[in-house]
Parts: sequence; C-alpha cells; structure tokens
Amino acid sequence: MSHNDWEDILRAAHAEPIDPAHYTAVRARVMAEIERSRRPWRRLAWISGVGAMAAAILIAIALHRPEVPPLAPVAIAIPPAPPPPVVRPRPMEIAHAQPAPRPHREPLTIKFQTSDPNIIIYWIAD
Amino acid sequence: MSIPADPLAGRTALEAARAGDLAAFDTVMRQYERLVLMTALRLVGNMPDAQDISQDVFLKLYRNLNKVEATSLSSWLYRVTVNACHDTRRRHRPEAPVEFAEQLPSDAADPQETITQAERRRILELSLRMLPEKERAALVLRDLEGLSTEEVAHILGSSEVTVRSQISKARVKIRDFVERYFRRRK
Repeated sequence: MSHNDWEDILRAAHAEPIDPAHYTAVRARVMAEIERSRRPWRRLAWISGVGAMAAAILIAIALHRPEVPPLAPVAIAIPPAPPPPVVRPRPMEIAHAQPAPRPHREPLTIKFQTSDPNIIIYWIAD
Repeated sequence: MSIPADPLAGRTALEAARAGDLAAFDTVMRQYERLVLMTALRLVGNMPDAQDISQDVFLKLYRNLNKVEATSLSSWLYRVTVNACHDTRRRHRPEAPVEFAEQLPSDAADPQETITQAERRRILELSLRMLPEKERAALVLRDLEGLSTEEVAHILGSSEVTVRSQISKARVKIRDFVERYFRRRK
C-alpha cells in the first residue's frame, strides 16, 4: 500500500457527510443557551428600567410641585388685659382702711420702777 | 485550509452577530459547524463528546465576538476546539488502546475496491485512536483538515519542526496499521 492509498482512505472517510441532525442539535443547544443567558440581563434591564422610571417620576414631582405661597405673617394680637374688677370694700374695711383723723394726743408714758435702782422701765402707749 | 465558502458573507454575518443579531450568529455557526464538529469528532472519537465540545466552542465564540477577528476566525475556532478536546480527554477515562487490526471486520478479497463507507470510518476512527494526543491533533489538522504546517504549529502552539516530527511519526503509525489490516485480508 502506498502512502497515498491509506491517506486517501482516511481523507475519504473524513470527508463523508454526517447526519445534518448532529449540526442542528448543536446549533439548537447553543441558541437555547444564549437565550437562557440573555434572560437575567433582560430581567435586570427591566427592573433597572422600572427603577429609573420611578426615580424620574419622583424627581419630576419634586421639581414641578405647585408653588406654595409663603405663609402670611401671623399677627399675634394680645388683647389688653381686662380692667381689674371693682371691688367695693365692705363698710368695716373702709373704716379700717381709712381711719378718720384723730386729734393729736401726747403719748401716755408709764414709768415702772424695779427693785434695782439702776433699772427703770418706761412703757409708752400710743 | 478548510475555510468556509464565501468568507465575505461570513464577515458580514460576523459583524451583524457582533451587533447582537442572533440570526446572524446562527449563520456564522452554520458556516463553521463542520469545521468545529468534525475536528472535535476526530480528536475525541465519539459524537456526543464532539457535540458537547462544539457547543462550548460556539458559546465561547459568542462571548468573544468582539475580540475575534474575522480573518483569523477559522484559526481561532481550530485552536479553541483542540483545547476543548484536550480538556475533555483529560476529564474522561482513557480510551481502550487499539492493538490489533483484527478489530476491523471484513473478509472481502480486494479491500481497496470493495471497502465500504462504514469500514473507512472504522479504519479512520481506530487509526486515530491509537495515536498519542499531540500526534493525532497534528495529523488531523494537517492531513485531514488540510492546513499548512505553519497554521498547525500556530494552532497547537508548537514549532513547525515539532509539528513536522509529530506528523511524520503519526503517518508511519497509521500506515503500518492500515497495511496490517489489508495484509490480513489478502
């Protein structure tokens, strides 16, 4: 057998077509795997999209909040204190409060002498 | 080199795939699926593993669409496929060694003429299985996929001298194997 003979045999065997189903199976598995690997990214993109949208809405609300007019200054009016009630003094109190002028008298002085000649007690009664 | 037909269309599809067009990526896969699946099949020796490897390679391509140049896409795919096959073979149990050509069932008088497709496939499978991993990769890329020695060296990360040596050893082993097979049948 020459070199070319066995080499031709091997090449012919290698060149023989195989069942196309083998290729189809590989392609299907690859595409399924790619689809599966893409899904988490899609979900993540969807979640982040929703999050971004919510954030945008919140920012928009914050920026376009209706202008609230400043509060009017509150005038604190303290009403004047009510006049003190007029208390009519009772007649007795009036008499005590406003004693009638009495005529000036000399104070009554009483001198006590004790057994000790050095001690003398004066009692002055007004 | 078995570059898919119409590389211009492939480049356009690759650009569209980079932009996120999944249909375009499907087109890219269709253009390169034979390259990846058949290379993997020759290197690991069974279809289920070859399909798993093809899936991994195309997913890796999808994740690296922006890094892979259209002009070097074939080379990139070969390299990633060879590495994925290496990883798969390392994880799996070693294959049963092929010791005797008697494993090939045939009793035809002139095997060169009457050899069937199934027999050819079996010869190819068994002869590749008996090769060490590096020799097998070099032979598949050089003799079956038709790449140049320089391209094979680039893909395998070896020197051209090493690749030539590996291919030379692999050819001798395969020729001996096939000759034993046909001697037995005469």
